[in-house]
Amino acid sequence: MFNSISTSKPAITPPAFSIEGDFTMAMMRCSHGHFYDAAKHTSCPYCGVGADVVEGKTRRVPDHAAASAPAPVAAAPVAPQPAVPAASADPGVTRAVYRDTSSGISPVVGWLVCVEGPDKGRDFRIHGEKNFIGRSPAMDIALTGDESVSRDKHASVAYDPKHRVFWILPGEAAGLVYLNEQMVNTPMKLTSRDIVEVGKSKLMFWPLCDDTFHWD
Amino acid sequence: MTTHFIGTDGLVYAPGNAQDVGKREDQQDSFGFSDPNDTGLMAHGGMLAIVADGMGGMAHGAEASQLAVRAFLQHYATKQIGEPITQALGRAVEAADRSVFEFATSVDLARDVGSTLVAAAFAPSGLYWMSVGDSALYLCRDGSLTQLNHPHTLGAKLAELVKRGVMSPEDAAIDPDRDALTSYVGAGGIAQIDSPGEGLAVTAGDIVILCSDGLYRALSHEEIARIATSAADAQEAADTLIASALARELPHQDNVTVLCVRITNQESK
Repeated sequence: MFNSISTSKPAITPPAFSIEGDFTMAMMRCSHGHFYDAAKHTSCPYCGVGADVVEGKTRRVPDHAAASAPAPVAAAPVAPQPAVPAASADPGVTRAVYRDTSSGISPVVGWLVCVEGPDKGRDFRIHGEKNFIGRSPAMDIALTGDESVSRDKHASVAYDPKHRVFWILPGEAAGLVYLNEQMVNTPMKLTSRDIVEVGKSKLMFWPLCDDTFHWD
Repeated sequence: MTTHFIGTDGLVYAPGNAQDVGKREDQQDSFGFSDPNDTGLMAHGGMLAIVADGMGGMAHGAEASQLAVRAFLQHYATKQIGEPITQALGRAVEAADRSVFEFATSVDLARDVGSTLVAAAFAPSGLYWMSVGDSALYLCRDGSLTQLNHPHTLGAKLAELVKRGVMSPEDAAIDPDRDALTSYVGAGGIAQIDSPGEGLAVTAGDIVILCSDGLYRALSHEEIARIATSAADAQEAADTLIASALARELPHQDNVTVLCVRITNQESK
């Protein structure tokens, strides 16, 4: 179950990476990739549940709270918090936030809706200025499910707030982009319900901003 | 710790790891190193170290971070010699996201269960990383600490608004959601990732630290640098960092996980 670290003689010119250890400490790597001292632990202390005695002292795997303080830990968050600085409801707990920090900075101006391809049914927000389309999660419009879309900058959609028009632009990657079955070589204007095609995905364009509605 | 990985460049990478549950009821952090016996991967992909900090109630956060670490290690291990490291890291993080998302969906908790993830690849061509969320990657060089990755928290976004003059520093500082994540794996698509296009050159004497937020909320950058620098080896550094964080006795001490990799010259180890 465990892969022991080999204790070979020092490598002279290792071809790549090699591992060495000495005979005084038997370092083990468990099947989950944790290193531990096999002289102290009979099994991986990071995988096991419960306490593991280490040279007379107890190494807590779970439960630090019970060992150090009797009870007040749970009571603390309930107590009234000082006004400043504001504290989270449960300090220290890892959690996500869905608040849109872009509001007031770069509000949504339109959408692309995937009508064909692996991301069919998903909508993508278009914000002001350039929005890059690609497969990488780092892209503004990330078609992560479509392997035939280039990772970075397959194409881009731009909103020009001065003239309130949308453009589709070819990207820097090798993949081609089509607008209503026509190849996009230079920037082309988008109108409502136009179909943008990248890889195996077809995206329907829906503007929010136009002459009748705009943010500024 | 006397386990070492020796690179083609003659540098020796010594790993250490330590973890504590803090004052939480369960351990939601997970971590791992790639298999050092996989010499093929070592040659072109290097040694991989990863820390993940799960979120979601009770057992779900633990399961999420374990799945993220497992999927990431497994998919990075399939890297072929010709595949760029950045691409392999991208594949691995997408696989981690899918794995956690499938789990979250299966327990009807999509969008409530997820994990941060910070992975570092110590390759012959330099140090690469892939980071999502608020787990940290530090480079400790000449006694000072530099954070290599960019945290994905609302606080980091608010700091940008402060910089642009849209928000006051006072409002940003008291925002109750400032520590909440703006990107994580497990949502079925990752909002933001942080990964360099090229490897960062490391040198003998450098110490690279990966940790969950339980460490840097307890210790300052100066303290982390001092403890890591004065430790005899990577394992002692990791152990001492955990012990020092716990010694603060913070009332809400979170799970804390530290991975240290100490880089030395082959002759000086």
